[in-house]
Amino acid sequence: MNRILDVARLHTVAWVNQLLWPWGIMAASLVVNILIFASIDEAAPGKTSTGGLSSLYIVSAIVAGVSISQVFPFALGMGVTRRTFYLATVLVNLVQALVYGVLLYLLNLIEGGTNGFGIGLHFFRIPYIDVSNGLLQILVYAVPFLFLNFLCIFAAVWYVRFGTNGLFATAAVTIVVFGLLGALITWQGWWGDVWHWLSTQHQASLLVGWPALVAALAALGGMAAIRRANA
Amino acid sequence: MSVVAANGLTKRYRDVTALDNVSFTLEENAIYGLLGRNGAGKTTLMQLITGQTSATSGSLELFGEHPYENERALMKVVFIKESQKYPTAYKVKHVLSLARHLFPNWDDDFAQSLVDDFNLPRGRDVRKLSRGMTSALGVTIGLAARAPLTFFDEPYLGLDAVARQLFYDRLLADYSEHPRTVVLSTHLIDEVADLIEHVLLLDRGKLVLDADTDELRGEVMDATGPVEAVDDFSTGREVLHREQLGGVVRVTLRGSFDNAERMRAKKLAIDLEPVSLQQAVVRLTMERKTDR
Repeated sequence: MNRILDVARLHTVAWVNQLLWPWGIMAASLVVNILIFASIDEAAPGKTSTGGLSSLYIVSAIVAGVSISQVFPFALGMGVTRRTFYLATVLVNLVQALVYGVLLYLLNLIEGGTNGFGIGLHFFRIPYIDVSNGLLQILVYAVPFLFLNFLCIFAAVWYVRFGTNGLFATAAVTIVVFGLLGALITWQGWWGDVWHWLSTQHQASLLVGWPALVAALAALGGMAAIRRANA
Repeated sequence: MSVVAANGLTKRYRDVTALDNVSFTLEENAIYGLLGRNGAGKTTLMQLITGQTSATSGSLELFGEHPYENERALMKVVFIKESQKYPTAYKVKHVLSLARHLFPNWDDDFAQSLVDDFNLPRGRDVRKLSRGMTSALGVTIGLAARAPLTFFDEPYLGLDAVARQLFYDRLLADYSEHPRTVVLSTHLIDEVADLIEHVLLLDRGKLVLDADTDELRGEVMDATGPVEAVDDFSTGREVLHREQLGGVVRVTLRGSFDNAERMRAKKLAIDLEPVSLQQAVVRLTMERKTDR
Protein backbone atom coordinates (compact mmCIF):
# COMPACT_ATOMS: atom_id res chain seq x y z
CA MET A 1 0.00 0.00 0.00
CA ASN A 2 2.89 2.36 0.78
CA ARG A 3 4.30 1.68 -2.65
CA ILE A 4 0.93 2.54 -4.19
CA LEU A 5 0.88 5.86 -2.31
CA ASP A 6 4.43 6.61 -3.46
CA VAL A 7 3.45 5.83 -7.03
CA ALA A 8 0.26 7.90 -6.68
CA ARG A 9 2.55 10.89 -6.20
CA LEU A 10 3.45 10.53 -9.89
CA HIS A 11 -0.03 11.91 -10.58
CA THR A 12 -0.15 14.50 -7.83
CA VAL A 13 3.41 15.91 -7.70
CA ALA A 14 2.57 18.53 -10.33
CA TRP A 15 -0.72 19.20 -8.55
CA VAL A 16 -0.86 22.80 -9.69
CA ASN A 17 -1.50 21.68 -13.26
CA GLN A 18 -3.77 18.91 -12.14
CA LEU A 19 -5.99 21.24 -10.11
CA LEU A 20 -5.50 24.59 -11.75
CA TRP A 21 -6.52 23.71 -15.28
CA PRO A 22 -9.88 22.00 -14.63
CA TRP A 23 -10.99 24.42 -11.91
CA GLY A 24 -9.50 27.47 -13.59
CA ILE A 25 -11.37 26.76 -16.80
CA MET A 26 -14.57 26.08 -14.86
CA ALA A 27 -14.13 29.33 -12.91
CA ALA A 28 -13.68 31.21 -16.17
CA SER A 29 -16.85 29.56 -17.48
CA LEU A 30 -18.72 30.55 -14.29
CA VAL A 31 -17.62 34.19 -14.54
CA VAL A 32 -18.63 34.38 -18.20
CA ASN A 33 -22.01 32.83 -17.40
CA ILE A 34 -22.64 35.25 -14.55
CA LEU A 35 -21.77 38.20 -16.80
CA ILE A 36 -23.97 36.97 -19.66
CA PHE A 37 -26.96 36.07 -17.52
CA ALA A 38 -26.68 39.30 -15.49
CA SER A 39 -26.94 41.29 -18.69
CA ILE A 40 -29.80 39.33 -20.28
CA ASP A 41 -31.89 38.27 -17.30
CA GLU A 42 -34.70 40.54 -18.44
CA ALA A 43 -34.58 39.20 -21.97
CA ALA A 44 -34.87 35.47 -21.25
CA PRO A 45 -37.00 34.92 -18.19
CA GLY A 46 -36.89 31.41 -16.77
CA LYS A 47 -33.96 30.27 -18.89
CA THR A 48 -31.18 30.56 -16.35
CA SER A 49 -29.65 27.08 -16.51
CA THR A 50 -26.25 26.58 -18.11
CA GLY A 51 -24.05 23.68 -19.04
CA GLY A 52 -20.85 25.48 -18.11
CA LEU A 53 -20.15 22.91 -15.40
CA SER A 54 -19.40 20.30 -18.08
CA SER A 55 -16.06 22.03 -18.77
CA LEU A 56 -14.78 20.76 -15.41
CA TYR A 57 -15.65 17.17 -16.34
CA ILE A 58 -14.19 17.37 -19.82
CA VAL A 59 -10.88 18.92 -18.72
CA SER A 60 -10.56 16.40 -15.88
CA ALA A 61 -11.07 13.53 -18.30
CA ILE A 62 -8.42 14.92 -20.63
CA VAL A 63 -5.98 15.25 -17.71
CA ALA A 64 -6.72 11.61 -16.76
CA GLY A 65 -6.05 10.39 -20.30
CA VAL A 66 -2.82 12.36 -20.61
CA SER A 67 -1.72 11.03 -17.23
CA ILE A 68 -1.67 7.57 -18.79
CA SER A 69 0.03 8.39 -22.07
CA GLN A 70 2.73 10.51 -20.37
CA VAL A 71 3.12 9.23 -16.82
CA PHE A 72 2.97 5.50 -17.61
CA PRO A 73 6.18 5.41 -19.72
CA PHE A 74 7.93 7.44 -17.02
CA ALA A 75 6.67 5.13 -14.27
CA LEU A 76 7.90 2.03 -16.13
CA GLY A 77 11.29 3.73 -16.53
CA MET A 78 11.41 4.24 -12.76
CA GLY A 79 10.95 0.52 -12.09
CA VAL A 80 7.26 0.72 -11.19
CA THR A 81 5.17 -2.29 -12.14
CA ARG A 82 2.13 -1.87 -14.39
CA ARG A 83 -0.12 -3.24 -11.68
CA THR A 84 1.05 -0.79 -9.02
CA PHE A 85 0.90 2.10 -11.46
CA TYR A 86 -2.68 1.26 -12.43
CA LEU A 87 -3.87 0.75 -8.85
CA ALA A 88 -2.32 4.09 -7.93
CA THR A 89 -4.08 5.69 -10.89
CA VAL A 90 -7.42 4.22 -9.82
CA LEU A 91 -6.85 5.43 -6.27
CA VAL A 92 -6.03 8.97 -7.40
CA ASN A 93 -9.12 9.10 -9.60
CA LEU A 94 -11.43 7.76 -6.88
CA VAL A 95 -10.15 10.25 -4.29
CA GLN A 96 -10.23 13.08 -6.80
CA ALA A 97 -13.83 12.31 -7.82
CA LEU A 98 -14.91 12.27 -4.20
CA VAL A 99 -13.10 15.53 -3.33
CA TYR A 100 -14.44 17.24 -6.45
CA GLY A 101 -17.92 15.94 -5.60
CA VAL A 102 -17.74 17.50 -2.15
CA LEU A 103 -16.38 20.78 -3.54
CA LEU A 104 -19.17 20.94 -6.10
CA TYR A 105 -21.73 20.21 -3.37
CA LEU A 106 -20.34 23.16 -1.36
CA LEU A 107 -20.61 25.36 -4.43
CA ASN A 108 -24.16 24.03 -4.90
CA LEU A 109 -24.97 25.20 -1.36
CA ILE A 110 -23.39 28.59 -2.04
CA GLU A 111 -25.44 28.95 -5.20
CA GLY A 112 -28.57 28.07 -3.25
CA GLY A 113 -27.69 30.44 -0.41
CA THR A 114 -27.00 33.41 -2.67
CA ASN A 115 -30.07 32.87 -4.85
CA GLY A 116 -27.98 31.88 -7.86
CA PHE A 117 -25.19 34.40 -7.32
CA GLY A 118 -27.79 37.14 -6.96
CA ILE A 119 -29.17 36.68 -10.47
CA GLY A 120 -30.96 33.33 -10.15
CA LEU A 121 -28.30 31.48 -12.16
CA HIS A 122 -28.35 27.67 -12.18
CA PHE A 123 -24.70 26.80 -12.73
CA PHE A 124 -24.31 24.02 -10.13
CA ARG A 125 -28.01 23.39 -9.34
CA ILE A 126 -28.93 22.16 -12.79
CA PRO A 127 -32.48 20.76 -13.16
CA TYR A 128 -32.71 16.95 -12.73
CA ILE A 129 -29.09 16.78 -11.53
CA ASP A 130 -30.05 18.85 -8.49
CA VAL A 131 -31.24 16.34 -5.86
CA SER A 132 -32.48 16.96 -2.36
CA ASN A 133 -30.28 14.49 -0.47
CA GLY A 134 -26.82 15.87 0.35
CA LEU A 135 -24.98 12.54 0.17
CA LEU A 136 -26.70 11.60 -3.06
CA GLN A 137 -25.87 15.05 -4.42
CA ILE A 138 -22.16 14.46 -3.77
CA LEU A 139 -22.37 11.11 -5.59
CA VAL A 140 -24.30 12.70 -8.46
CA TYR A 141 -21.41 15.13 -8.89
CA ALA A 142 -18.66 12.54 -8.29
CA VAL A 143 -19.75 9.58 -10.44
CA PRO A 144 -19.63 11.36 -13.83
CA PHE A 145 -15.95 12.06 -13.10
CA LEU A 146 -15.38 8.34 -12.69
CA PHE A 147 -17.45 7.56 -15.77
CA LEU A 148 -15.58 9.96 -18.06
CA ASN A 149 -12.12 9.54 -16.52
CA PHE A 150 -12.10 5.74 -16.63
CA LEU A 151 -13.40 5.69 -20.21
CA CYS A 152 -10.62 8.15 -21.09
CA ILE A 153 -8.05 6.10 -19.15
CA PHE A 154 -9.19 2.96 -20.94
CA ALA A 155 -8.76 4.68 -24.32
CA ALA A 156 -5.31 5.95 -23.28
CA VAL A 157 -4.20 2.47 -22.15
CA TRP A 158 -5.45 1.12 -25.48
CA TYR A 159 -3.39 3.78 -27.24
CA VAL A 160 -0.26 3.00 -25.21
CA ARG A 161 -0.62 -0.70 -25.92
CA PHE A 162 -1.82 -0.77 -29.54
CA GLY A 163 -0.75 2.63 -30.90
CA THR A 164 -2.70 5.09 -33.00
CA ASN A 165 -4.00 2.45 -35.41
CA GLY A 166 -5.20 0.26 -32.56
CA LEU A 167 -7.04 3.15 -30.94
CA PHE A 168 -8.75 4.30 -34.13
CA ALA A 169 -9.59 0.78 -35.24
CA THR A 170 -11.27 0.17 -31.89
CA ALA A 171 -13.11 3.49 -32.16
CA ALA A 172 -14.31 2.54 -35.66
CA VAL A 173 -15.52 -0.86 -34.48
CA THR A 174 -17.32 0.77 -31.54
CA ILE A 175 -19.08 3.23 -33.85
CA VAL A 176 -20.16 0.42 -36.17
CA VAL A 177 -21.44 -1.71 -33.28
CA PHE A 178 -23.46 1.12 -31.75
CA GLY A 179 -24.65 2.23 -35.20
CA LEU A 180 -25.92 -1.28 -35.95
CA LEU A 181 -27.53 -1.41 -32.52
CA GLY A 182 -29.31 1.90 -33.24
CA ALA A 183 -30.41 0.64 -36.64
CA LEU A 184 -31.69 -2.58 -35.10
CA ILE A 185 -33.71 -0.67 -32.49
CA THR A 186 -35.16 1.62 -35.17
CA TRP A 187 -35.95 -1.31 -37.48
CA GLN A 188 -37.69 -3.24 -34.73
CA GLY A 189 -39.40 -0.09 -33.44
CA TRP A 190 -37.99 -0.56 -29.96
CA TRP A 191 -37.29 3.13 -29.22
CA GLY A 192 -40.55 3.46 -27.29
CA ASP A 193 -39.51 0.61 -25.03
CA VAL A 194 -36.03 2.14 -24.57
CA TRP A 195 -37.48 5.49 -23.51
CA HIS A 196 -39.95 3.76 -21.28
CA TRP A 197 -37.16 1.82 -19.58
CA LEU A 198 -35.11 5.00 -19.12
CA SER A 199 -38.03 6.99 -17.71
CA THR A 200 -38.91 4.29 -15.20
CA GLN A 201 -35.36 4.12 -13.89
CA HIS A 202 -34.87 5.70 -10.50
CA GLN A 203 -33.03 9.01 -10.63
CA ALA A 204 -30.24 7.54 -8.48
CA SER A 205 -29.76 4.58 -10.87
CA LEU A 206 -29.60 6.82 -13.90
CA LEU A 207 -27.27 9.40 -12.37
CA VAL A 208 -25.15 7.16 -10.13
CA GLY A 209 -25.76 3.41 -10.51
CA TRP A 210 -25.41 2.82 -14.23
CA PRO A 211 -22.54 5.30 -14.85
CA ALA A 212 -20.68 3.81 -11.89
CA LEU A 213 -21.12 0.33 -13.37
CA VAL A 214 -19.75 1.46 -16.74
CA ALA A 215 -16.84 3.22 -14.97
CA ALA A 216 -16.03 0.03 -13.05
CA LEU A 217 -16.07 -2.05 -16.26
CA ALA A 218 -13.81 0.49 -18.01
CA ALA A 219 -11.45 0.46 -15.02
CA LEU A 220 -11.25 -3.35 -15.06
CA GLY A 221 -10.72 -3.36 -18.82
CA GLY A 222 -7.90 -0.84 -18.44
CA MET A 223 -6.27 -3.04 -15.79
CA ALA A 224 -6.40 -6.08 -18.05
CA ALA A 225 -4.99 -4.16 -21.03
CA ILE A 226 -2.15 -2.41 -19.21
CA ARG A 227 -0.67 -5.62 -17.79
CA ARG A 228 0.80 -6.47 -21.21
CA ALA A 229 1.50 -2.89 -22.33
CA ASN A 230 5.04 -1.69 -22.98
CA ALA A 231 6.01 1.93 -22.97
CA MET B 1 23.27 -15.81 -6.40
CA SER B 2 23.83 -13.91 -9.62
CA VAL B 3 22.23 -10.50 -10.02
CA VAL B 4 21.07 -11.46 -13.50
CA ALA B 5 21.09 -14.91 -15.09
CA ALA B 6 20.03 -15.25 -18.72
CA ASN B 7 19.84 -18.56 -20.53
CA GLY B 8 19.02 -18.89 -24.22
CA LEU B 9 17.29 -15.51 -24.12
CA THR B 10 15.59 -14.70 -27.43
CA LYS B 11 13.42 -11.77 -28.43
CA ARG B 12 11.76 -11.58 -31.84
CA TYR B 13 9.73 -8.69 -33.22
CA ARG B 14 7.79 -10.10 -36.16
CA ASP B 15 10.59 -10.80 -38.68
CA VAL B 16 13.43 -9.19 -36.69
CA THR B 17 15.41 -11.21 -34.17
CA ALA B 18 16.62 -8.57 -31.71
CA LEU B 19 18.23 -11.09 -29.37
CA ASP B 20 19.29 -14.55 -30.45
CA ASN B 21 19.91 -17.24 -27.84
CA VAL B 22 21.86 -15.06 -25.42
CA SER B 23 23.25 -16.61 -22.21
CA PHE B 24 25.29 -14.82 -19.54
CA THR B 25 25.29 -13.82 -15.89
CA LEU B 26 25.87 -10.51 -14.14
CA GLU B 27 27.53 -10.83 -10.74
CA GLU B 28 27.37 -8.64 -7.66
CA ASN B 29 29.55 -5.56 -7.36
CA ALA B 30 31.09 -5.19 -10.78
CA ILE B 31 31.00 -2.64 -13.58
CA TYR B 32 30.01 -4.14 -16.91
CA GLY B 33 30.33 -2.62 -20.35
CA LEU B 34 27.47 -3.64 -22.64
CA LEU B 35 28.88 -2.88 -26.06
CA GLY B 36 27.81 -3.26 -29.64
CA ARG B 37 26.74 -1.33 -32.70
CA ASN B 38 23.39 0.41 -33.12
CA GLY B 39 20.68 -2.21 -33.42
CA ALA B 40 22.85 -4.92 -31.86
CA GLY B 41 20.19 -5.61 -29.22
CA LYS B 42 21.64 -3.77 -26.21
CA THR B 43 18.52 -1.78 -25.36
CA THR B 44 16.25 -4.79 -25.94
CA LEU B 45 18.37 -6.78 -23.49
CA MET B 46 18.12 -4.08 -20.85
CA GLN B 47 14.37 -3.75 -21.41
CA LEU B 48 13.98 -7.47 -20.86
CA ILE B 49 16.00 -7.43 -17.64
CA THR B 50 14.03 -4.45 -16.31
CA GLY B 51 10.67 -6.05 -17.10
CA GLN B 52 9.68 -3.49 -19.70
CA THR B 53 9.10 -6.14 -22.30
CA SER B 54 8.92 -9.92 -22.29
CA ALA B 55 11.10 -12.51 -23.98
CA THR B 56 10.02 -14.73 -26.87
CA SER B 57 11.88 -17.66 -25.37
CA GLY B 58 14.65 -18.52 -22.94
CA SER B 59 14.89 -17.95 -19.23
CA LEU B 60 15.79 -14.81 -17.34
CA GLU B 61 16.25 -14.27 -13.63
CA LEU B 62 16.67 -10.94 -11.85
CA PHE B 63 17.84 -11.42 -8.26
CA GLY B 64 16.65 -15.01 -8.62
CA GLU B 65 13.13 -14.07 -9.77
CA HIS B 66 11.27 -13.49 -12.98
CA PRO B 67 11.46 -9.73 -13.63
CA TYR B 68 8.19 -9.03 -15.46
CA GLU B 69 5.78 -7.21 -13.12
CA ASN B 70 7.92 -8.25 -10.16
CA GLU B 71 7.89 -5.34 -7.73
CA ARG B 72 10.38 -6.80 -5.26
CA ALA B 73 13.01 -7.44 -7.94
CA LEU B 74 12.37 -4.25 -9.92
CA MET B 75 12.73 -2.03 -6.86
CA LYS B 76 16.40 -3.05 -6.80
CA VAL B 77 16.97 -1.77 -10.32
CA VAL B 78 17.36 1.64 -11.90
CA PHE B 79 17.39 1.96 -15.69
CA ILE B 80 18.57 5.30 -17.07
CA LYS B 81 18.09 5.59 -20.79
CA GLU B 82 18.74 8.34 -23.24
CA SER B 83 15.20 7.99 -24.60
CA GLN B 84 13.45 8.43 -21.22
CA LYS B 85 10.28 10.50 -21.64
CA TYR B 86 9.13 12.84 -18.90
CA PRO B 87 5.55 14.09 -18.43
CA THR B 88 5.14 17.70 -19.60
CA ALA B 89 3.96 18.92 -16.20
CA TYR B 90 7.13 17.85 -14.36
CA LYS B 91 9.84 20.21 -13.21
CA VAL B 92 13.35 19.02 -12.26
CA LYS B 93 12.48 19.17 -8.55
CA HIS B 94 9.38 17.01 -9.14
CA VAL B 95 11.44 14.27 -10.77
CA LEU B 96 13.94 14.34 -7.89
CA SER B 97 11.18 14.23 -5.30
CA LEU B 98 9.52 11.26 -7.04
CA ALA B 99 12.82 9.39 -7.33
CA ARG B 100 13.39 9.92 -3.60
CA HIS B 101 10.17 8.06 -2.86
CA LEU B 102 10.54 5.35 -5.49
CA PHE B 103 14.11 4.16 -4.86
CA PRO B 104 14.69 2.56 -1.45
CA ASN B 105 18.43 3.39 -1.33
CA TRP B 106 18.07 6.97 -2.58
CA ASP B 107 20.66 9.38 -1.14
CA ASP B 108 19.20 12.86 -1.32
CA ASP B 109 22.38 14.69 -0.25
CA PHE B 110 24.26 12.95 -3.04
CA ALA B 111 21.47 13.83 -5.49
CA GLN B 112 21.51 17.49 -4.49
CA SER B 113 25.29 17.68 -4.84
CA LEU B 114 25.03 16.18 -8.35
CA VAL B 115 22.31 18.70 -9.26
CA ASP B 116 24.71 21.46 -8.21
CA ASP B 117 27.67 19.90 -10.02
CA PHE B 118 25.69 19.69 -13.27
CA ASN B 119 24.14 23.15 -12.76
CA LEU B 120 20.64 21.71 -13.16
CA PRO B 121 17.91 24.36 -12.69
CA ARG B 122 15.54 22.80 -10.12
CA GLY B 123 12.54 24.93 -11.06
CA ARG B 124 12.68 24.37 -14.81
CA ASP B 125 10.23 22.20 -16.75
CA VAL B 126 12.00 18.97 -17.67
CA ARG B 127 10.73 19.22 -21.25
CA LYS B 128 12.47 22.59 -21.58
CA LEU B 129 15.89 21.26 -20.53
CA SER B 130 18.59 21.04 -23.18
CA ARG B 131 19.64 17.60 -24.44
CA GLY B 132 22.69 17.66 -22.18
CA MET B 133 20.76 18.78 -19.11
CA THR B 134 18.17 16.04 -19.63
CA SER B 135 21.04 13.55 -19.71
CA ALA B 136 22.50 15.11 -16.54
CA LEU B 137 19.15 14.65 -14.79
CA GLY B 138 19.12 10.98 -15.81
CA VAL B 139 22.69 10.50 -14.60
CA THR B 140 21.78 12.16 -11.29
CA ILE B 141 18.86 9.78 -10.75
CA GLY B 142 20.89 6.76 -11.78
CA LEU B 143 23.72 7.53 -9.37
CA ALA B 144 21.71 8.77 -6.38
CA ALA B 145 19.28 5.82 -6.58
CA ARG B 146 22.16 3.54 -5.51
CA ALA B 147 20.19 0.62 -6.87
CA PRO B 148 21.90 -2.79 -6.48
CA LEU B 149 21.61 -3.05 -10.28
CA THR B 150 22.11 0.17 -12.23
CA PHE B 151 21.75 0.46 -16.01
CA PHE B 152 23.00 3.42 -18.00
CA ASP B 153 21.91 3.18 -21.64
CA GLU B 154 23.84 5.85 -23.57
CA PRO B 155 23.25 8.17 -20.66
CA TYR B 156 25.27 11.10 -21.85
CA LEU B 157 23.95 12.23 -25.18
CA GLY B 158 24.62 15.96 -25.38
CA LEU B 159 26.83 15.99 -22.30
CA ASP B 160 30.11 17.83 -22.88
CA ALA B 161 33.48 16.24 -22.12
CA VAL B 162 33.74 17.96 -18.72
CA ALA B 163 30.30 16.75 -17.63
CA ARG B 164 31.10 13.23 -18.86
CA GLN B 165 34.32 13.20 -16.86
CA LEU B 166 32.32 14.41 -13.85
CA PHE B 167 29.96 11.48 -14.36
CA TYR B 168 32.81 8.94 -14.56
CA ASP B 169 34.51 10.42 -11.48
CA ARG B 170 31.34 10.47 -9.41
CA LEU B 171 30.39 6.97 -10.53
CA LEU B 172 33.78 5.55 -9.59
CA ALA B 173 33.94 7.37 -6.24
CA ASP B 174 30.43 6.34 -5.24
CA TYR B 175 30.94 2.81 -6.53
CA SER B 176 33.99 2.31 -4.32
CA GLU B 177 32.02 3.45 -1.26
CA HIS B 178 28.78 1.69 -2.19
CA PRO B 179 29.65 -1.26 -4.42
CA ARG B 180 26.87 -2.42 -6.70
CA THR B 181 26.39 -3.85 -10.17
CA VAL B 182 26.58 -1.22 -12.89
CA VAL B 183 25.98 -1.81 -16.59
CA LEU B 184 27.20 0.89 -18.95
CA SER B 185 25.96 0.72 -22.50
CA THR B 186 27.88 3.11 -24.67
CA HIS B 187 29.59 3.82 -27.96
CA LEU B 188 32.34 5.87 -26.31
CA ILE B 189 34.32 2.75 -25.47
CA ASP B 190 37.73 4.35 -24.92
CA GLU B 191 36.24 6.76 -22.39
CA VAL B 192 34.90 3.98 -20.21
CA ALA B 193 37.67 1.44 -20.87
CA ASP B 194 39.28 2.10 -17.49
CA LEU B 195 35.95 1.91 -15.68
CA ILE B 196 34.58 -1.36 -16.92
CA GLU B 197 35.77 -4.62 -15.49
CA HIS B 198 33.87 -6.94 -17.77
CA VAL B 199 32.77 -6.67 -21.38
CA LEU B 200 29.63 -8.07 -22.98
CA LEU B 201 29.66 -7.53 -26.72
CA LEU B 202 26.49 -7.96 -28.76
CA ASP B 203 26.43 -8.13 -32.53
CA ARG B 204 23.17 -8.48 -34.44
CA GLY B 205 21.45 -10.04 -31.46
CA LYS B 206 24.19 -12.55 -30.64
CA LEU B 207 26.52 -12.36 -27.67
CA VAL B 208 29.95 -12.54 -29.33
CA LEU B 209 32.12 -11.73 -26.33
CA ASP B 210 31.78 -12.20 -22.57
CA ALA B 211 35.18 -11.54 -21.01
CA ASP B 212 37.05 -9.67 -18.29
CA THR B 213 38.51 -6.46 -19.65
CA ASP B 214 42.01 -7.34 -18.47
CA GLU B 215 41.85 -10.80 -20.04
CA LEU B 216 40.64 -9.31 -23.28
CA ARG B 217 43.52 -6.82 -23.31
CA GLY B 218 46.01 -9.69 -23.16
CA GLU B 219 44.04 -11.70 -25.71
CA VAL B 220 43.83 -9.31 -28.62
CA MET B 221 47.14 -8.04 -29.97
CA ASP B 222 48.48 -6.23 -33.00
CA ALA B 223 51.48 -7.97 -34.57
CA THR B 224 53.54 -5.93 -37.04
CA GLY B 225 56.53 -7.26 -38.99
CA PRO B 226 57.79 -9.01 -42.15
CA VAL B 227 55.02 -10.86 -44.00
CA GLU B 228 56.47 -14.36 -43.69
CA ALA B 229 57.34 -14.03 -40.02
CA VAL B 230 53.94 -12.63 -39.13
CA ASP B 231 52.07 -15.27 -41.14
CA ASP B 232 54.12 -17.95 -39.40
CA PHE B 233 53.35 -16.42 -36.00
CA SER B 234 49.63 -16.15 -36.86
CA THR B 235 49.09 -19.87 -37.41
CA GLY B 236 46.86 -21.30 -34.73
CA ARG B 237 45.50 -17.87 -33.84
CA GLU B 238 42.37 -16.10 -34.91
CA VAL B 239 43.20 -13.32 -37.38
CA LEU B 240 40.75 -10.50 -36.83
CA HIS B 241 42.25 -8.04 -39.23
CA ARG B 242 45.10 -7.82 -41.71
CA GLU B 243 46.63 -4.91 -43.57
CA GLN B 244 49.73 -5.12 -45.73
CA LEU B 245 52.03 -2.37 -46.94
CA GLY B 246 54.85 -3.69 -49.17
CA GLY B 247 56.77 -6.36 -47.27
CA VAL B 248 55.39 -5.32 -43.91
CA VAL B 249 52.11 -6.57 -42.55
CA ARG B 250 50.04 -5.78 -39.49
CA VAL B 251 47.53 -8.28 -38.21
CA THR B 252 45.20 -8.17 -35.24
CA LEU B 253 45.31 -11.55 -33.52
CA ARG B 254 43.17 -13.17 -30.88
CA GLY B 255 44.59 -15.93 -28.77
CA SER B 256 46.84 -16.46 -25.79
CA PHE B 257 50.18 -14.71 -25.63
CA ASP B 258 52.35 -16.08 -22.86
CA ASN B 259 55.97 -15.09 -22.22
CA ALA B 260 57.41 -17.78 -24.49
CA GLU B 261 55.20 -16.58 -27.31
CA ARG B 262 56.26 -13.00 -26.72
CA MET B 263 59.92 -14.04 -26.88
CA ARG B 264 59.27 -15.92 -30.09
CA ALA B 265 57.68 -12.81 -31.61
CA LYS B 266 60.70 -10.79 -30.62
CA LYS B 267 63.04 -13.30 -32.29
CA LEU B 268 60.97 -13.16 -35.48
CA ALA B 269 61.33 -9.33 -35.41
CA ILE B 270 57.61 -8.95 -34.83
CA ASP B 271 56.42 -5.95 -32.92
CA LEU B 272 53.66 -7.16 -30.58
CA GLU B 273 51.44 -4.64 -28.83
CA PRO B 274 48.05 -4.75 -27.11
CA VAL B 275 45.20 -2.93 -28.80
CA SER B 276 42.82 -0.59 -27.06
CA LEU B 277 39.49 -1.94 -25.90
CA GLN B 278 37.77 0.11 -28.58
CA GLN B 279 40.02 -1.34 -31.30
CA ALA B 280 39.45 -4.85 -29.99
CA VAL B 281 35.69 -4.35 -30.07
CA VAL B 282 35.78 -2.86 -33.57
CA ARG B 283 37.94 -5.72 -34.85
CA LEU B 284 35.80 -8.39 -33.22
CA THR B 285 32.64 -6.88 -34.69
CA MET B 286 34.03 -6.25 -38.17
CA GLU B 287 35.57 -9.70 -38.38
CA ARG B 288 32.14 -11.23 -37.90
CA LYS B 289 30.80 -9.15 -40.73
CA THR B 290 33.42 -10.44 -43.20
CA ASP B 291 32.62 -13.98 -42.07
CA ARG B 292 29.24 -13.88 -43.75
